Amino acid sequence: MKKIAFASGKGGAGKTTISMSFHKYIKDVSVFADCDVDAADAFLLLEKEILQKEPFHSGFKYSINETNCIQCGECIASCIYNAIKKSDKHYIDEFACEGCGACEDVCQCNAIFSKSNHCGELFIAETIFNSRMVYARLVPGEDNSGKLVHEVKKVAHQQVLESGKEFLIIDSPPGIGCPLMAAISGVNLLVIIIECSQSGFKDAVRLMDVAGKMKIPFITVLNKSGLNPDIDQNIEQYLQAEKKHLTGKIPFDEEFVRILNRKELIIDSEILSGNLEDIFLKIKNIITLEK
Amino acid sequence: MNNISIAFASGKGGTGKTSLAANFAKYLSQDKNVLLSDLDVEEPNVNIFFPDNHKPLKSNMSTINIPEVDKVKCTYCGECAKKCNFNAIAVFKDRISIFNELCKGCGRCFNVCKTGAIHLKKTEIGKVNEYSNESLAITEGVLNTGDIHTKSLITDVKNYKHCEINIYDCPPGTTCPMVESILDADFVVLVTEPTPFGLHDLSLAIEVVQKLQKRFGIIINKSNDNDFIVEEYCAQNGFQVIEKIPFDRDIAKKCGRGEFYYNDDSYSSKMQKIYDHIKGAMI
Repeated sequence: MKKIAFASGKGGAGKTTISMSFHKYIKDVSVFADCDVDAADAFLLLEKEILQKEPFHSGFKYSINETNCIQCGECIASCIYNAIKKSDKHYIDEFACEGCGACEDVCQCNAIFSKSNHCGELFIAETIFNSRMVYARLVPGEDNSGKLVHEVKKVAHQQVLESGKEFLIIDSPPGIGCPLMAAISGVNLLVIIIECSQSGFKDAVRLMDVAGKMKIPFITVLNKSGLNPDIDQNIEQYLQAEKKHLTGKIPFDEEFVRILNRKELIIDSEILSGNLEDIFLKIKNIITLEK
Repeated sequence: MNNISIAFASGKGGTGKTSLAANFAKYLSQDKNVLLSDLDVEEPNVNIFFPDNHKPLKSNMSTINIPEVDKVKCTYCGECAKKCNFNAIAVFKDRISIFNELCKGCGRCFNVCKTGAIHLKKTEIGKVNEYSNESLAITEGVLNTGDIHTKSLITDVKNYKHCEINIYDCPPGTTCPMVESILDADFVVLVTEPTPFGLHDLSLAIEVVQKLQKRFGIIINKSNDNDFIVEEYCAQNGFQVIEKIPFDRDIAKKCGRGEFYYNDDSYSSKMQKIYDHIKGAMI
């Protein structure tokens, strides 16, 4: 089994749109994992039916028992996140609390208690083209997205094995922090989508740095090219100088948005599909060769 | 109105938070003191719009406290590992391991160690850079590549708040980094785009700002003939669309280059309208 992740650093560069189409391109041999657990969107277009739904628990949430609390203020001093507030009574701001439990250690009157934190849901679903997809929804405002990403990958991995498929396609979250690293760790190939803009370029370079540190092999695809030919050229020169593989270019086209609004995939578009299939064939050939 | 903080956020990435925040900040700085803070510390891009900002006026290290163990004093009792909620410490019979990438720097291990074997060492997670462009000050957080302490760095960048108007360019998403970014904002501008993805992520972002009881308004960026999906949703739920910025090849081109569009008449009036709306909401 081979794992292939699509990431970009920058948000809105086209990760989901492109990876969903890639899934359709090899739908008979792949499972799709949406690892953007902050804002999972692929299910809006791909999902036909939810097959399984599981709660996800991680970490702890702390609260103060008012009856026991003598308002000594020890806990306030112990919290480096300034999450314990004082009004007419002491309370813990759940959004600022990291769940470390330092407050519990200093409380003399057993007023602080914890409970296991329910922070999201994980779904296994059948897609509109009868393949499997796995995604998750973190409760808005929650932490622990890296762990949930890990869980999505684990369950999706299982799905690939159980259904005898060859590929796991991972749609990564934006950024280069914990959730992103959880999404791309251990993949056989990373496809970096570079949005042809100053910010898209800069973000992709930071992502390449992270991928390099994690020793993950990657290739690149330019998206939204042609708006600023000089920027496109800068990116291409950079990739050439750094000896990074450029697999293909997808031009900026208003058709992209129109297709999305019709809830269709870009690979179904007559205007875009030809170029896209060329790129996908190349990616498929590369991953087949990757160890 | 003194010292207000306005956060530009969105659930979905790439909706135009940074370009709007930069244009808005630059517009307001024509007659006000403005601080623009780049809180998208994993991928900071505000400076794309300020090509003269080659070198920061000041660059400060951002750190968290990671434990270090004195192997002579350590009795391998395992209390620190037991108390660590992030599983960042593992203690064996005669060995102890600390996993920096899991540690959140809370210091609980230091507090519970009875033999004084743990001390906390300041460890760099990134930088906070300060720039100045006349009446527009800029602070930017840059997370070290490979580091995961996004939230701590965001908190650090916000410690530099000092202007009449503080504008935050927030990270995408709806979880911890986004929450940390808007936690002390007086008003949250949610930037969306009129696509099914934009709408879905907007609804998640609204869930967060409502939980935090923030005042908020919505801007439809890349506005086109599909706006109705966002507008219908907003009308049904009583949310207000403050302004729309059209989907325009020329604007896309400018944003791609890091060029401003606020100085065009029709756009400066949009910036003013956004400001007036926020000012009105503050009363």
